[in-house]
Amino acid sequence: MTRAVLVAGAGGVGKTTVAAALGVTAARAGVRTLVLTVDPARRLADALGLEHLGNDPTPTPGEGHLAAAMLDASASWEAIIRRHADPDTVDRLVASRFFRAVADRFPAGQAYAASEEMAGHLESDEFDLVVVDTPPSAGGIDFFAAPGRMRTLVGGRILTWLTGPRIPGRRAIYSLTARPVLKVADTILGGPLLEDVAEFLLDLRTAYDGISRRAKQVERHLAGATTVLVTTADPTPVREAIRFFRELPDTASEPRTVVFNRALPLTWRADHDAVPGPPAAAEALESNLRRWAADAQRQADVRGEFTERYGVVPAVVPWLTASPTDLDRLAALVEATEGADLADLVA
Amino acid sequence: PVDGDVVDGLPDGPHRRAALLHRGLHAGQRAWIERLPPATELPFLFGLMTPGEVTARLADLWGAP
Repeated sequence: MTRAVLVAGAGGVGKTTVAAALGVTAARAGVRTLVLTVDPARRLADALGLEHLGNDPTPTPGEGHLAAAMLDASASWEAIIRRHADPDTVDRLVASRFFRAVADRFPAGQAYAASEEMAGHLESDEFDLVVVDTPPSAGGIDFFAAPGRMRTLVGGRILTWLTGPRIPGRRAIYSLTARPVLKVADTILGGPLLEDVAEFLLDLRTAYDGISRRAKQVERHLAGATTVLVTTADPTPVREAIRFFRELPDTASEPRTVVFNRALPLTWRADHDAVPGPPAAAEALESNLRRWAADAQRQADVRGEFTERYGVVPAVVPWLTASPTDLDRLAALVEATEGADLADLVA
Repeated sequence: PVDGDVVDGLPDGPHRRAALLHRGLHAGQRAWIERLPPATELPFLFGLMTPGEVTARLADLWGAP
């Protein structure tokens, strides 16, 4: 059965790099691995030496067991609609500007599309392991909450209140929108907006049952996955990490480890021999080391508090001045990690 | 600032590694700053400080009357 490792966390903490490093480690252990990202900044593609990434898995040159894919939310949503909507409404739905907005611009829409893509790959049997570089929106929570929110939305009362318990005929909608007050509203809004919204919701209604059932299946995949939360020991990412633990839906599994990225060596805190060289330079170098050593201590304190609060063994990744740019450097990142063994997560 | 040659000539150890880290981060920061529009002003906090120092400076600012 294909396993999933979900790499979660706020933006800018090194999630894509950690996900890529886990993918390389797994592949080199002989595990058929897919790394799925939503990052449009090409960090994964560059790190793996790939020209182009799309929804379909692309094999990594030189790594027989490793492939990568980047979420194309628009294409994923179109596939979702084609799978579940009434065939008579599909073309109208995917051409709708509201559909485009959900698919392309709303983080929550992207989060659900990513979880659906993950589910598709888990069920395909093409891979032994899928590592998901999850979307950073809402500190990572949106990805885990997306299927539940989708079920609430399509199965809930808001949409059926708007479209009615039985799907009304289109003539009823058109006569409703012919009322003068609604015509005025359309004039103000710059077009037949209300009629477009009504039509969109009616067409979407035909997909509700299918989407709701599918969302439940996706939730089960999330519950069975291994979650890794990535952060740095800086105030905003730590706050987002705390929020992640607090807001993680019951349907998802708690993080098995927390990766503290960009860690400074604690050995820098110790006294050291005098620096050779001109006195002014030596003084500047000593001062520089002491400042960074103070930060190393601060980071260790943050990790300790976090570990005590949540009972997870942290994985501590050293601070690199440049992100790994090739497969060997990505593998070396996992090897250089202290604390929890990241390789164990993907073995 | 310490001359690059002095840093490169240091024996391996914490002083050299801390200096290289600092230099690497500074170079990375410069690369991003150079991509900003020319007249952009950045607050002093964007000088190269450790994350703990940035936090302390912010705390001082917010705590100041």
